[in-house]
Amino acid sequence: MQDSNKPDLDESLNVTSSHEQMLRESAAVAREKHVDEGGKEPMSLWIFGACALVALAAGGALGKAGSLFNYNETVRPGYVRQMLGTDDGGALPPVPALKAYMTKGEKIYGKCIGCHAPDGKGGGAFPALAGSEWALGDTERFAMIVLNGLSGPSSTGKTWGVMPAQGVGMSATDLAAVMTYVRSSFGNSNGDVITAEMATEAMKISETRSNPGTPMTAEELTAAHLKALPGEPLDPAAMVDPVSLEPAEAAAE
Amino acid sequence: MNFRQFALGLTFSFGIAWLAVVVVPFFKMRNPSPVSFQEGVDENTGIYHPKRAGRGANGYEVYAENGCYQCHTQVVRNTDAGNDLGRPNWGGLKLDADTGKDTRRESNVFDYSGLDFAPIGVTRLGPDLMNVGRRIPARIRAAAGPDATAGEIDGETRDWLFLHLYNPRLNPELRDWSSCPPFSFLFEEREITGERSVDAIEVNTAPGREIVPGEKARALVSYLMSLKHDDPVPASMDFSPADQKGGDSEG
Repeated sequence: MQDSNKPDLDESLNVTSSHEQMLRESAAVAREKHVDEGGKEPMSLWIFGACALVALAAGGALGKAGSLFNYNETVRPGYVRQMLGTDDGGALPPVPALKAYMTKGEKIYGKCIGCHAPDGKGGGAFPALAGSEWALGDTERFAMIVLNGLSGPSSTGKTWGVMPAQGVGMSATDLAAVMTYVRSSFGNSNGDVITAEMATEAMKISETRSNPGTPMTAEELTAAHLKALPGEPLDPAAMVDPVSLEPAEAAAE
Repeated sequence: MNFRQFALGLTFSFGIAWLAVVVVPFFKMRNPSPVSFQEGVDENTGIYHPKRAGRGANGYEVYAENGCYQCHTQVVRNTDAGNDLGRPNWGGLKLDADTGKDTRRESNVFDYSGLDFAPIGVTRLGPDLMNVGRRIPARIRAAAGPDATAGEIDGETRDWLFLHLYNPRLNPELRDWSSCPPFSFLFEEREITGERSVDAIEVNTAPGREIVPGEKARALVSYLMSLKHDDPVPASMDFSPADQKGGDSEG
């Protein structure tokens, strides 16, 4: 197999045949070891698996989406017109009292988060509201603490820092909502709805204290405020206006 | 990835979305199958279709060529998408003085049938115009009192719209804040020959001259006054709560 075009460098070596042999051997190595296949390597099984998972999830979502890409309906199935707060004096649809008070209370609780933490567990230099005997117990005692603050020992007997008064600028509805929220959140499950009337009574009681403007102490609370606020808590299922928290019948008039 | 694959992939991914969101709805909505009124259920009979003809159709072209749709929408959304129906007289009249009924309703696909394109609008800088032909007469009627005749109310509505087109800030209600541009080029100033034109708008002019609406302004105002999309719909398209079907305005 001597190629007459190539120079015969060494009498003992056939250049062409050794070149062919080299090519064969390197091809065998490349086959065995998947060396340098120019981007044509077989795809790994896990990519197929991952794609299948994505496709499954997408299929599930599309299947649940119902009328997605339904070109025959121009409105959502089961749509019923619901007039919301109209400019000409319409009202929002009423919601159950507990839900409305909790929603409002959660907003007011934004003031309290700095110390008592979003989960009501306090922490650091601040006491917890979750499971607190004074928060969950007599409503008048709880209202007095919110309105006037607290110094000295708390319900657990431990003395924390001074809690500043929160009553300034707080409406009766605000107080009622935030009390309701604390008593039914963070694992507390009191479930009663403090009404604005009860909160108004609390504000009156707070004004008639002998030393107005100073934080409450454990002695004063035990001596004078160890009772429920006058008035009946609202039925949690009663329907109220979500904005004014007035009973729905009164708001509709 | 070479350029060919890239171009194909790009076309494919955007093409699918374009097909699904533009092309298919276009052919589906272009010719919606008609909905009939049912006897015994609806007050009307026959096939439900909005009526549209005459100079109003010319005005629609003026509306389009002057870009009114850039700021004014013509769509009253479902209440789960927005509170358009709660805006004063956007979706119709809360209390129609003629029938005593609540005519408010959502826009439907038939409100746009027969138009080259649905003028639903680009942004909502100005008020929605879906029922402007109901809203302004209702306002004028409320101001004029019960003695005003239909003709007087129509005339005042026309004057109000002409003045608004000539310069929105001449309108005492909108003087300080309206961002609507004046379309005074739709009007012409001319010498008064004989009597002053009844259509001449109430603005200061040189003595002996008057400003009257041109043909396009007249067509546009006719179109605006024809925008009354609060007609009763068949029961299958009536989404009011069960106790308010038929537009009873109680509750």
